[in-house]
Amino acid sequence: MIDCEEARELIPWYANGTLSPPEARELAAHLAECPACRAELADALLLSIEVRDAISNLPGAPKKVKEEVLPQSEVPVARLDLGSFLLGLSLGVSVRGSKVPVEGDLRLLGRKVRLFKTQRR
Amino acid sequence: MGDEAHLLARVAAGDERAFARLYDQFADRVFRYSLTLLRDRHLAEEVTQETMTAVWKGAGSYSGRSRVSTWIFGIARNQAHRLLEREARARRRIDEPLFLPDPAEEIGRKEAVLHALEQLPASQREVVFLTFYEGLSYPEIAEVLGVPEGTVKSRMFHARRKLAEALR
Repeated sequence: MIDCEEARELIPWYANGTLSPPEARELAAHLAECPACRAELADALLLSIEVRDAISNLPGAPKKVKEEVLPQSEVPVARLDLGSFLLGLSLGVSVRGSKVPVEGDLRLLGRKVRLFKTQRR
Repeated sequence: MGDEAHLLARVAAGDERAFARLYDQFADRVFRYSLTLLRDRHLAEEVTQETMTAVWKGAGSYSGRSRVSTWIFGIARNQAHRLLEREARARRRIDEPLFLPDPAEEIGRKEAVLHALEQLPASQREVVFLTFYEGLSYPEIAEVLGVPEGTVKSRMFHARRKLAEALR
């Protein structure tokens, strides 16, 4: 049987429901016999509710963090082709999140050579 | 395999939609954890960005030995401490009041709880956060913090005493 000191160390995790079954059983047996530790448990339960409530009130991650972190596929929105397949220029504009990259390519004998690509907000 | 572990496996395979879902499940929690630990919104933002980027890039290194949340909070804690060391090297002091009450509102119980949390040492504050907000077990918290389980229990014990006194 555990004593009051051991019981009080475990009580916060009894309150959050994460003790292993043998620990929870031992603690429950102690609580059944000990009014002082039952009062400790009541305090811990109240504290856990209040802490959860208070922290839920803190702001969440700003939206711009998501934009920075999420890999975003590029969606083409406009394309201008000049010349022919053998020799030509093309200009493409796409959208990637909040950015609008513009790219320019040169076509030479069917091969594409990237001239530039920008990342603009 | 739990839902989160399944999601993380899809992230490891490069599934961007799975990552967007994982991001939505964790970003606010990581931000609040960092804010609680660091008491600085800009740093908390940086920690969240670095952590979630590390999750996207390093999902393949998740071993499945611990819960996904334990793994992610472990990354967040490392990032937070890296930034703290950087700030200390730059001799910048972090003394932004973390919990700014809305001046239009009366100071209520929630603000009093946040204020009491703010008074705890960071090492105790994070144990309270991970226990009561994240619902982690004490062995999981010991893993996130990289300290013995007995240390987690004693930090919680002291934190509860101080919180009870402050909130009496």
